[in-house]
Parts: sequence; C-alpha cells; structure tokens
Amino acid sequence: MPVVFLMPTIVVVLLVMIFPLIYGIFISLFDYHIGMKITSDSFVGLENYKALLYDKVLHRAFLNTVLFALLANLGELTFGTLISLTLLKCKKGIADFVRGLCTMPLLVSPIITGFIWKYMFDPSFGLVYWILGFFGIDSSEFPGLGKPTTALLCVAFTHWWQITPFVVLVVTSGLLSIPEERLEAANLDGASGIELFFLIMLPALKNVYYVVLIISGVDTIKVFDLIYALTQGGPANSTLSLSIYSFREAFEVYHMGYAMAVSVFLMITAFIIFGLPFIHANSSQEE
Amino acid sequence: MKKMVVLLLVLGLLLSAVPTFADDEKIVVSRWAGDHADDMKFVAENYNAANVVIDDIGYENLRQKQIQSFSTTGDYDVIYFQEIWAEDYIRNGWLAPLDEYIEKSGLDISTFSPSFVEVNQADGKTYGLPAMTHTYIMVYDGAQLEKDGMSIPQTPEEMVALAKFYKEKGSGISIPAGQGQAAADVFSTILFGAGGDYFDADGNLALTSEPVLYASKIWDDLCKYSVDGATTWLNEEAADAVRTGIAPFGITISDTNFLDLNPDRSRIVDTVVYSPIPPRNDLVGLAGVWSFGVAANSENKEAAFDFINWMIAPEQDKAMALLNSQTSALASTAADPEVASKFPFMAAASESMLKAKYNPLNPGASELMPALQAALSEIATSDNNPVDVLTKLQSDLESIVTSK
Repeated sequence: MPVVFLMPTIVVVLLVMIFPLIYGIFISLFDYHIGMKITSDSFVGLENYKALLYDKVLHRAFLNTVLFALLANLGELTFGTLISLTLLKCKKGIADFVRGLCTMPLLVSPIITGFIWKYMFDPSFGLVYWILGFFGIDSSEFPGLGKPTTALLCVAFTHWWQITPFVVLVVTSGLLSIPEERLEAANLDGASGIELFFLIMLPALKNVYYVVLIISGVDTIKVFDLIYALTQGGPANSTLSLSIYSFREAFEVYHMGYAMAVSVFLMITAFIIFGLPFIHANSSQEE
Repeated sequence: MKKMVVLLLVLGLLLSAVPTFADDEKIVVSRWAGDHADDMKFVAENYNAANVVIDDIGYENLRQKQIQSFSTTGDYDVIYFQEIWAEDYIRNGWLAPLDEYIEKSGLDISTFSPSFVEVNQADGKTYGLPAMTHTYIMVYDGAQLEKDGMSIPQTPEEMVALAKFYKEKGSGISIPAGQGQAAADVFSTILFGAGGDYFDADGNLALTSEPVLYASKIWDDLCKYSVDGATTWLNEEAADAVRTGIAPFGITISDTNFLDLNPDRSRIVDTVVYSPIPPRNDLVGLAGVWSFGVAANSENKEAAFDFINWMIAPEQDKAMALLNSQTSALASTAADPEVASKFPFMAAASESMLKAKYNPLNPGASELMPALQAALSEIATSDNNPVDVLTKLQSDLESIVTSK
C-alpha cells in the first residue's frame, strides 16, 4: 500500500531524472548527431570515453573546473565566515540591515551576474578599473578578464560576490545556534578570540560547512551560465569549464555522443569530489 | 425561444460567409524570435494567399527544433535557416528541391549575388532562396579622422598603422577579439581578402600557408593596437565602443550598424563613415546568409514556395530593409535610394559581399572553428608568436579536420 502513495514521486523521478540519465549514457555509446537515427552502424562502444583520455582541451577544461571549484568554495567559506563573525560583533540594527543588503546578489540569476560583471571588469566601460585607477592600477598591471593569468580569478571573484551572502546567512544561523553558556564559559576561562573560533565555533559549524560545500560545491563543478556570460571560456580556453565544453561539443561541433561522454565524466567528477565525502560524512554521523 | 434560434442561425450563416483559409492553406514558418521576426510578421500580414503562422523561437533552440520537425513531427512548411546549417539540411534530405517551383513561377534567381545562391545548391539543385545577409565592415568616426588628418585605410597594413596611431593617442581600434565566433569571422575576412583559405586545393588543412600566416600577423597587430578590453569583446561591445566614442574606428558586424544612426545610442550619427575591411588582394568578404527553404516533409510545398517567392520579392524585401535594416540578398534593395539614404552602411556591406566566401561548412571541418577561436584568443592575449600558435594548431588538427 505505501508503494501506491509513493508512485507519483517514483514516476516523476524516473521520468525526470533516471530516464534522461540512462538515455544520456546510452547516447554516449554512439557516434550520434542531432537528427540522426540511432543505428547499429553508429554504435562505437566506449570509444567516446577513450577519446576523453587524449583530448587536450578536455584536460584543460577539467583542470579549470576543479581549480574554479576549489577557489570558489574556499573563498566563499572564508569570506562568508569572516563577514558573519564581523556582523555578530555589530549592533543588531546595523547587522540586520547589512544581512538584508547582502542577500541581494542571491536574487540575481548567474547569467545576469555574469553580464553585469563582464561590464564591471571592462577596462574601457567598467567600474572596477575606474576604482583601480585611484590606486594607479590599469589593465596592463591587472588584466582582469583579458588575460589567461587572471581571468579565472575574476570568475571566482564574481562567484564570491554572488554566493558569499548565502554562506553569511547559513553560517550566521550556525553561529547563533551555539549555546551562549559555552561561549561565556570559554571567555571566563580566558580564551582568546582565535581560540574561541577554532575550539568552539568551528567544530559547531562543521555540519553547516558540509551543507554549503555540497550545495555550492556541486554548483561550481557544473558551472556554466556564469562563465558563459563572462568569458565564454576564454581567453585561450583559460576559463573553459567541462559544462561549457560539453555544450560546445553538442551544439557547435554537433558531436552529441561525445558531448554526452563529457557530461557523464563531469557527473562522475562531481560525485567523486563532493558526493562521496557527503555519503561518508552522513554514514559516520549515523554510526 | 424561436427568436433566439433564428438569431443563432443567422449568426451561424454570417460567420460561415466570413472568408477563412482552408486547412491546407496554412503555412507554418520556422525562424528565430526577435525584432526581425516581429517585422516579418508585420509584412506577412499582407499576404493573402494563405494563412501564414510564424513560429519564432529563441535562436539557441532553433536548429534543434527544426531538426526535430524534419525527423518526426513535421510541424513546419517554410524553414528559415542560415548557411552553416545548409549542408547538413540538404545532405539529410530535409529540404525539398525548389527548381520545379522556381521554373513554374518564373523567378529569376540571377538577381541575387551568385554566392548567396550557390551556398544553398547541391548536385545542381537549389534548396533555399536567400533573404537576409550580414558581413563585417569598417566603421569610422569621420570627423575624428579628419581632425587627425587620417584617411580611410586601403590595405590591411594601413589599417594596422591607423590602429597604432590611435593606440599611441590612448584609444586604438575596436575589434571583437574575445574568444568566440566573431573573432574567427574577422580573421576569415582578413584571410579571404588575402586570397587565402583554410584548406588547400586537395582539401587538406592549410593553417601554415602564407595567406593564413599573413592574416595571423595582421590579427596579432590589430589586437596589439586595440582599445583596452577589446580582447574580451564580442560583436556588441566592439560596435558600442565606436558609436560611443571610445574608439575612433573599428570592425563591426553589419547587423549592429543601424544603431550607429540612433541618436539615443550613438555619438557619431552625423559623422559615421563606412567601408569594407581593406583587403590585401581582391575584396572578398565573409558572408552570413539566412535563406528560406521548404521542408521536405511539408504537405503544402507549393503554397510554402509561393509564400517564399512573395516574401523575397523586391517590394517585401525593401519593406523588411526599411523596417529592420536587414541587409538584403538582393543588390537592388541595397542600392535603392530610400534604403541607401536611411541605412548608409548597406553600400559597404553589399560591396563586401559582391564576391563573398563562407567559413568552412562541411562536417569534416566542424572542429576547426572552436579550435581556431581559442588559438586567435591566445594570439590576442599572449606574447606567443602567431606562427607558432597556428603551426601547433595545424599539427593538432590536420589528422581530424578536412574539407571533404
């Protein structure tokens, strides 16, 4: 009987998640182009996966993706925590106002964020170089999105601008959930601010960080819209992510089978980097 | 009650007398959405021979939707497609040959530039009729050039010299040098104007040929002397920079030039000057063309062709040009005094496409463009020698990319 009640959910999950996933994996075994009929002649087995090993552009995209995920998550957690701690020291009215203001970037879609920051980073049109100009810095000293050396950092910065407010909200709620007596006891024992953070607050925030890492981590490993709007993967493929590469292979080069293999590879990467630790953390907590 | 029944009967009779199109007279046109689609709908309202429904969807989904219709659903009668899709559509038998209808209607296709017709032909048959075109042209703030005592460049070297002159004065040339198709298109224009191509006579990739290396040197110099930020720009930003006075001249796609004449968007309304991108040898521009075709699985092929024939006729073509500044495939429209005075860039665009060429269209070359885009971006944003970059690209691609 419970199965009957679960049927709508099972059907939706099967149709929306499981079937497309199986179909994608199935397509990745063919030399398939949009509009083509799938026949035994176009079956290539694991050839598309084998080709991943020799594809230099894919290797670059993989490196960029992992580097971006690391930069993005490290930055948002660090800045989010620092801002949360600072706001806790502020007067309630000011802190509430700043927190409210902070949530605004969250309301903007990543593609719009990308377009906004593309103009902000533009040496001719943008605000960033106007501000840097006061410090005597121009585009030859900090090339921003214009050079492979700094482009990925600028993309990560844009991500921080958008996602840090989310971390601020979550970390603040984590900090507020720490019992007041514990903090007071540590203060009475003469703990310094740093000791207070590392010995009391950080352990209490462990689960909060797990949640943020899972949500934001998976988002960053499959990043598409933000980079597409900012750089389209350039300059010289220095910000090309696996998702953008998969999209290009599917809709610009029309290698749908290969694009699916790249997507499956991306999914496995996301699972290994963020899925496995999450499962491990969950099972340890249950034990 | 009787009165009510009589009233309903009379109403029914009246409604049946209103002229309606039979089901077989409904023509569904597939195209991308936007201002151009709205203008096409406006013009098509005057077509009386059939009920025309324009199904306009986002460009990014258009090709997929059209292929879906070819393969299964058969939703469309008229297909509006671009030249890069033509080979695929024709090879798969998704478009109907139009020769029989062309002959029957007496349409003279010699009124189009041959390169616009040839791109839709295969095995001696015609599968599409050109409507809208675009190319890359130079745009200048004529007053600024005059003030600085500079003239319009006639060769790529003069173009580089002009860019250098303005770079030293703090600006430079505006070009869409960000990694993307626009950069590859500008490069193709320089290459075709230098008498070169991406493939040799045997169909082998020739990225180390003299004209390709020449074009890469010009590209490198243009990027070096471009306005700050141009190495991240696509078509829109490159055009904006000239019309807002950030750059005194630049290379722009003709689709964007109508905004140069809009006083709300442009500071060069009264001083703008256009010219083709100066060639090294003959003027051979890069063309993009949108054409009308008839879906092979349409049940209304003749009616579909009749609509196309009406839509590309000089009257409707001129109406579209005046409404939307579309650069027509008909030379007579671009030369029309009313059109030419309203949109002065059309003369330069038409001149650039008198002998137009296209980026490689065959499936064997499909990997070339994304790789070339990355290589051009590398040239634009690093100190690497363009010859080395293209030599490496040639060695990476020569075994997989072919013109066959």
